[in-house]
Amino acid sequence: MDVGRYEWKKLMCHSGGFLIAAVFVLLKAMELFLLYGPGVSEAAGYRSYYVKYLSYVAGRVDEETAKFFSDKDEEFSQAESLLQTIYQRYSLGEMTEEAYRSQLAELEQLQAYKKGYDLLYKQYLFARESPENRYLLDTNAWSALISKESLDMGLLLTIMILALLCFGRENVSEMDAVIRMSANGERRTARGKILLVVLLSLCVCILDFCTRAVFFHWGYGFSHGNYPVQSLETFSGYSGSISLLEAAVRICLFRMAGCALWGLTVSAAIVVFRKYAVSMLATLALILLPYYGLPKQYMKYFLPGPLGFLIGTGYYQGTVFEYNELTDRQVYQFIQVPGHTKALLIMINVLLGALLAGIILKAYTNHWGKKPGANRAGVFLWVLFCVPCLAGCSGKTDAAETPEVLYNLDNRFYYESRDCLVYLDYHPQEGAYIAVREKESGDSYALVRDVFRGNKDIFSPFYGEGNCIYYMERSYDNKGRYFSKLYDTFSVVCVDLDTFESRTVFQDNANQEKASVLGLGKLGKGAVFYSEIVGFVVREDRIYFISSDQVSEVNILSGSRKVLFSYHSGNVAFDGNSFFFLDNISRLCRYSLKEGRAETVYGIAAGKFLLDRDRILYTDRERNGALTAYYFGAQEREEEPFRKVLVPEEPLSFYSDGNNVFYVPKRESVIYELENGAGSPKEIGMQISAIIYPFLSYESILLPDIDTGEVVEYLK
Amino acid sequence: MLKLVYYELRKHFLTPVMLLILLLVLIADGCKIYSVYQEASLFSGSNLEEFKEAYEELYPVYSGEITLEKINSLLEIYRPIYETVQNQTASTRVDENSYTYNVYSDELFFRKCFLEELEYDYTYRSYAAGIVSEAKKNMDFYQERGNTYEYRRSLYIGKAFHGREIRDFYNTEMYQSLFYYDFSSVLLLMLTVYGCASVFVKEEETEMKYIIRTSRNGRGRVYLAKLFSALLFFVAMGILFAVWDFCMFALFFGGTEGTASPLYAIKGFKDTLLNLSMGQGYLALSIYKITGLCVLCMIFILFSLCARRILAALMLNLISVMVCVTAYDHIYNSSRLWNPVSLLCARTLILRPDFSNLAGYPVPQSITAAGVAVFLLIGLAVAGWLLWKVR
Repeated sequence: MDVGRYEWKKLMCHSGGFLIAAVFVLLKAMELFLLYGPGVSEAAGYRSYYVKYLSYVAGRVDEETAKFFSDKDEEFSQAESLLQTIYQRYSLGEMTEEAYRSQLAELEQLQAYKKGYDLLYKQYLFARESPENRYLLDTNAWSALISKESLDMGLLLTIMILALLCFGRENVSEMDAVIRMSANGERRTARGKILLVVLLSLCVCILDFCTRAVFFHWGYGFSHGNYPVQSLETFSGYSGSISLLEAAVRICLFRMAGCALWGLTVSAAIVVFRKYAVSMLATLALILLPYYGLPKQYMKYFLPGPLGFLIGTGYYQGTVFEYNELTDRQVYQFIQVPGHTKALLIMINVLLGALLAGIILKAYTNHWGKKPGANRAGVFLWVLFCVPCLAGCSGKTDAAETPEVLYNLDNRFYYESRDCLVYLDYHPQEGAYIAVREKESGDSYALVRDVFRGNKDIFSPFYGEGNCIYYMERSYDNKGRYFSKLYDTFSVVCVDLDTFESRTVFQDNANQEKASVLGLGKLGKGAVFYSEIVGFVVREDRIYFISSDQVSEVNILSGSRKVLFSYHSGNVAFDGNSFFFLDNISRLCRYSLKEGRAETVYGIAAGKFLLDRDRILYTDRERNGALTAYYFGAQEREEEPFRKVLVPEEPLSFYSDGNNVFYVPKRESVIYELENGAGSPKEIGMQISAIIYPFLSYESILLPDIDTGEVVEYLK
Repeated sequence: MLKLVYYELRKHFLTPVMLLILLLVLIADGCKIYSVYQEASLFSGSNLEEFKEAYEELYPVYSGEITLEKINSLLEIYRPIYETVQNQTASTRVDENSYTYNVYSDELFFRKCFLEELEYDYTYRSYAAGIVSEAKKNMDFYQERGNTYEYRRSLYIGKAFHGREIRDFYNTEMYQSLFYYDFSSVLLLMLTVYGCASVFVKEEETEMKYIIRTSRNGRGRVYLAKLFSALLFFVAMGILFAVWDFCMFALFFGGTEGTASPLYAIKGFKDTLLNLSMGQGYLALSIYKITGLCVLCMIFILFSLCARRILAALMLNLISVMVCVTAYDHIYNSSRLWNPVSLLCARTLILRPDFSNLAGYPVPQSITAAGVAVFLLIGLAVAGWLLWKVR
């Protein structure tokens, strides 16, 4: 016992063991905050509604649940249809002002509820596929705790360092010969150390598990631990029947066993090799080579040894098939580990552990061989950890205030710079391409002059700022000989309009099958995201991507992506500081980038809107869709109304070139113009295509003709 | 001097432990190549016997130079099969008269093994010609605007793609997988991390460095000898792995007759700027990888000079590798070439027709990378020499 206590003190106090464990816990906590923190704060918005609905249907899926969902569906769709007609009825005078306001407030509340409901509904669809063992419950916390199927390198390294310090320090200070000569030297010291290492590994593992459990309980909350484990998606194919809590406990036990085995492996390695470097290399290779090198994921759960046990989740996953088109048969993607194999593996691992302990006991004797040199690990090691990296990181300058920017999603197919007009044109054979026309000479040519563009997908929407045009492109990976093309990288390219030189501004690996660097980097996971983009805005160091229902912000340097807000369909406008969009009750909202939240502004309820430099043009739903202009900054003059109706009937579409307003009424295919946004409309031509390009400093508007490939001009 | 180099080599690298590790790593590499073969090759599974037989029958007939008669005769066989499949009425039972199992697998067989590849080879000439004409149009365009850099770049591309064609059809399966095989680089990287850590730290640990530095050859020659021995060892390792990979791939996949075919016969290398054959391309790839490894080796030796304990040196090596890998993921402009990992991933350098702008002259990134590597090597050697002198 004395030996054990002595070894404990030696390791924990004098070799910095406590420090190592504390740093590990700290790093783990930081990692959890960084990885899961944003998710927790995002979910907090609608979680209360989600939890409320869940409380009605938690548990088994049966007729009651089905009835609840169909009732709720009806409720929501009724609210939707009410929504469609509320503006109409108000503008036609069928409702009073009070009734209108109160109903609007109610509907707004309902929209907030819907978010939580949608989440629940998705879960319901998943659970419905197999109602006997998939129950409805709050899966966030459980998934985060036990669904992750990766090796925890921090845990691995911590246990390795502790074991190395426990057994290896005396080799380096050359005290090992003296220790082994003493009375308790051989057996008792070795036994004490083995016990210490095993206990420490178990403690570190439990600490890690507890930290995560506490964090997720705080962030999401655990509940219904007695529901079957198939309620989680990763474990949905499992053919046994255990509850969530049981599965969590078992996985924790597996991990503890794995940690203990790993600790024993490292200790055996250092006792046998007596050198830090070799033992580190050998043990890391033993764990990492199968982890990265095995072709199929399920193989590592069938091998004995610490690897499978350290990960743990694979023992409760079900068999998954994948269809191989060439051989026309199903191929195993993952094979469930049967119970007897698990028992066998546990036995083998216990035997392995005993074997390793035996090796340690045997090898812990005096050998008068070569001894390595002096070593005093500890603080110096940690100081050297902080040596700065060598690989090309440049300092970041402060983002200066950029010049005025005005972007409307509806205007994403045209842009006007100082000397050129850029717009999307159509070629009868080649399809759509981005054309540049010089204002003075009138020559037009293609913007994208990349010689290899046949191999790439060039998206139609583009973004212009100053004298640069940005466009998006995607390249293919032609690696697979027998299978279809994969999307490889996604890039945003900038072309300067004076010199026509192009440079890549942003690039991301969208290849779902290949990690970018030697199999060591991260897998491309943006493929689906990038294919849904309809427009984008490029700022100094970030790009805002607009998809059909949300706007995300991507940092150019790190590639990290964050969803800013969701919007209902229609235009999204950006003025340099904030985004303007319509929410599901057709109210104009503004999302301010500085404050990071959305709010409704100006009391506008619009069907469609367009942002101009000094005004907002919109179809007012409270006045039966009349085309109205709302002027900014005209509030000081009280006679001038800052809301002016331009056209009383709702137009089919309307455009603005900054000064004049053009619109197409519903019943005719004729384009009308309102000079300077006022006065009576003037007819200027027939509408031949759905797209109009009104340019400010050009004397006519352009319409591309898709059939002939010509561009028609109408004088303003 | 040579004796010194040999002595250092024996001291650090030709130890039994290192050789044992080398052997194990070679075996691991072989196993991984075998698993790649099982996954990627058409003929590895035992349940595609018919495919294999049919392929062995037909391949000698159609391989070699692509002539119109061969194409026509192949199409004559393929067309009726294709039409039958279009009707979707033929049975899926095993048919003795078909080449493989039945009509559907026949169609798949002909299309995947012969026709798609032949089509790519045959139409490559017009693809290259298209690129040349685009480049010419660009040249005129940029000349009007006075942009000489882009003009020169289009000129370079035009010259590179001029007259390209693929004359012969061979089974390029082996090269397809060989060019995309990265596991041996990872293994070599691990070996380097371990091997370079102890080069200088050992002297520090055993406190021999004072004695060494006061000896006659102590300062300059010992430093150079250690450097050379490390570089020599890892260059030799790199060559060994390149040859080993090639032999293993040739052993499993077979089909090395494509060695003389041009590099762009592999679809993934369609846009490469290099006019090399496949064998030469593999040589170039290996040379890039070895150069990248040498640069990393120099960095690790630098760390070994700085560190006092071997654990610290090892940790620094590991961390710098992780940092390089992460940085490679995120930095996309030309400063990527300063990262030695980009040399290890030389395939991207060869695949993509990227250029760097050097004083108005377009230089393909493959050449720029080589230049940067040489510069880094020399720079790091000098830095290490300063450190060795000072400490």
